[in-house]
Amino acid sequence: MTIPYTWEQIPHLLLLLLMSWIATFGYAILYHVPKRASLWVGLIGMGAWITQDISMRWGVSAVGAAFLGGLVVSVLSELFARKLRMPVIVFVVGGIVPLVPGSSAFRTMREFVTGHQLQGLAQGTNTFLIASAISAGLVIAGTIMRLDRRKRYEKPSGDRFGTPDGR
Amino acid sequence: MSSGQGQDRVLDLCLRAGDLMLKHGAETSRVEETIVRVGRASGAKLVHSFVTPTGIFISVGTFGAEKTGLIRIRSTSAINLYKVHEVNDLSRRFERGQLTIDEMFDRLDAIDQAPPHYRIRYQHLAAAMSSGAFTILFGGGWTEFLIGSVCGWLSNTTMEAMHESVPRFLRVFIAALVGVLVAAFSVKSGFSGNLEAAVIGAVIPLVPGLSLTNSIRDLMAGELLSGVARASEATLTAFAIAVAVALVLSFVAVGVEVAP
Repeated sequence: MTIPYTWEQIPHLLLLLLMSWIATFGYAILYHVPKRASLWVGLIGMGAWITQDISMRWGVSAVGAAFLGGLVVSVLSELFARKLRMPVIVFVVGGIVPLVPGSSAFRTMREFVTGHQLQGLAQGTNTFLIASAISAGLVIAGTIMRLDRRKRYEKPSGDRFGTPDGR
Repeated sequence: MSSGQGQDRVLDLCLRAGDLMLKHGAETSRVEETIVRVGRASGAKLVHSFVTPTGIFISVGTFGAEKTGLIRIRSTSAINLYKVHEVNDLSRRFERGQLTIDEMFDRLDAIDQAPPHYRIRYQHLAAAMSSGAFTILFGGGWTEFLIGSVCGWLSNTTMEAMHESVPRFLRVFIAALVGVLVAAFSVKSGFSGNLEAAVIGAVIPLVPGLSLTNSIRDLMAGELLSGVARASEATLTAFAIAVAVALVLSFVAVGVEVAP
């Protein structure tokens, strides 16, 4: 496991990191994320993007990289949500945007339009798998992070037959 | 909580809080949780809530004497996570006994009528910057940054400009069409060489990030109905964007094939 960047790539990497931050921050503002959270949302997007980039350079497939990115988004979002006392979606909505399989989706459409149905199907499947992998990453990390919270919120409400705890 | 009138007020409060949260884009599991929290805190022995993306059904009361209410949610286009956070925060403070029921009504009104959390010009700026930044992430240069910013701003503005009576998917489709059309023309006129980056930048403000997130979180919480409903919303929105891109590519940009 070496650092997958050469010295010459570092300035461009820094530019891309800044861009992933701006992209996430801007997208979050479109959804009126609370001001106190918006800077951190940018950071989550940045973390997601760099995770995806590093794992792809280490030879992980695009689907696997999207999965890892989803994991990072979920873990960071849960942590920030607890620290700032805000709903988790505030952080996740912005955080997953840099992982969106934009170029894969674009190529799907281009293949279909130019009459290459088979390549289009292959790219489409790829797009679908990447999107599913992001969701899978979110679900797995989110479920694990919420294990300790579950109990507190599932206090049963009294039920209509008069048994006090609903059982 | 003893009188029937008190019960009515609790029901009203729960419905109002739930309506506000759901309308501005909260996930349904959180809305249910908040309603139960508010109802319990105001002294109801029995609180049941059933929330779907298009309606809230709750019943509040004591054993044997309960009131049921429902609210139909027709539009969720005014997404505002700041208000979701505020109502959520309010419900927790109410639970700790820091607010009375009357104060809760006043605060909810204040949240409902609050001006946008970010001024409209910052929203426009955010759409432009975000789209521009994405073109660079997807391999564009500064020319694409410029094109992406303009087209992203354009598609976001088109989306906002259309009246809410136009179906959501049609709005997304038209907005994407406008943005991608300008992007494709700017590439065709030789202003830039990277069609892929420009087009991706143009549609970024329309990407259904919230529907996707909400659907995943609802499915995680075991809310199968809302989870599936939201997932299909996200899929249909994505399809609307894809069809717009395909349409523009087939009419305008077939000649501008870039290297695969």
